[in-house]
Amino acid sequence: MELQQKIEEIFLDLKFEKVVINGDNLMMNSGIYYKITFVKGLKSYIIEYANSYDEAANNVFEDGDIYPISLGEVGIINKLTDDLTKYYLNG
Amino acid sequence: MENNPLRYVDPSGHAPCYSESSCKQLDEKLGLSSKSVYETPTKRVDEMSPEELWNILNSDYATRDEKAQIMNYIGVHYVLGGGLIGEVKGLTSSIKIGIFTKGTSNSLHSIKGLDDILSEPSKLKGVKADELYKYLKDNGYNPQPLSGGSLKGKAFEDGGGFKVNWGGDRILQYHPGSRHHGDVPYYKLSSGKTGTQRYDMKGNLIEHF
Repeated sequence: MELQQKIEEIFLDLKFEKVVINGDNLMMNSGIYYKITFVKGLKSYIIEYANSYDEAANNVFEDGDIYPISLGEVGIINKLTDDLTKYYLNG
Repeated sequence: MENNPLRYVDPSGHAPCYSESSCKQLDEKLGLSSKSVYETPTKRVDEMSPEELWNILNSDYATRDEKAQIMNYIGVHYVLGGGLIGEVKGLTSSIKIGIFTKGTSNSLHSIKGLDDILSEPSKLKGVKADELYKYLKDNGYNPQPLSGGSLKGKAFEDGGGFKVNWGGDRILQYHPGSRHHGDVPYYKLSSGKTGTQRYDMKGNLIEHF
């Protein structure tokens, strides 16, 4: 399974809801919309979030926490799971 | 000069002029030389070169208030940017100031609003986060801490990022970088028209894919 798919599984396991806006696959929890983006120039995965449906529809996403691939796949999954639980669940 | 004394220099110290012709007439009336800064009467202080500011500061026709406005501007836009080293000997008697353009954040100096940054992101080149933060605050853009994740609500002064939303679909964000394995701070610009771009602190586009 690709890392991106594993990340999606983490979101779903934590009860984030999968939604599609403007053709983009997003995760939603407590009215906040999330996506994970890999930015090649930073060699990192980034959690991006929009604070409302309108912002998500207008592609107004802030960058949240960053996970360099240097953490390794297990490291990314563990850190991401911890952060989603600690900082992102319930807004 | 009206409503925004910091941004405009009133050449006469009296009523403002609104057109090139009326300002030329005013110049002639005041007997100002062809080298006076009033050749460009509607020019804003923040559009003037260091040399022009220097000339005004050393002129005998600019009023004390006008010189004070320039000093105020220089204090905000040059000294903090590290581009100007000045020696001020008081506004009432004499003003002596040395201007060094090396290292000046000229790009920040030339920014004319957030849409200007969006259309010309190279203006962020070499602009330090604290300079941009101050610029945004001083110009009424009200930069806010990030609203989610581990940096949620963390003030910029305490190591957090900042962002400004405008126009419904636009955002300028400063991110201090990853907490893991080395910080790579960057700016993010996004709008419906331009899409999303990220730039490192040297103004280089960060490759997305």
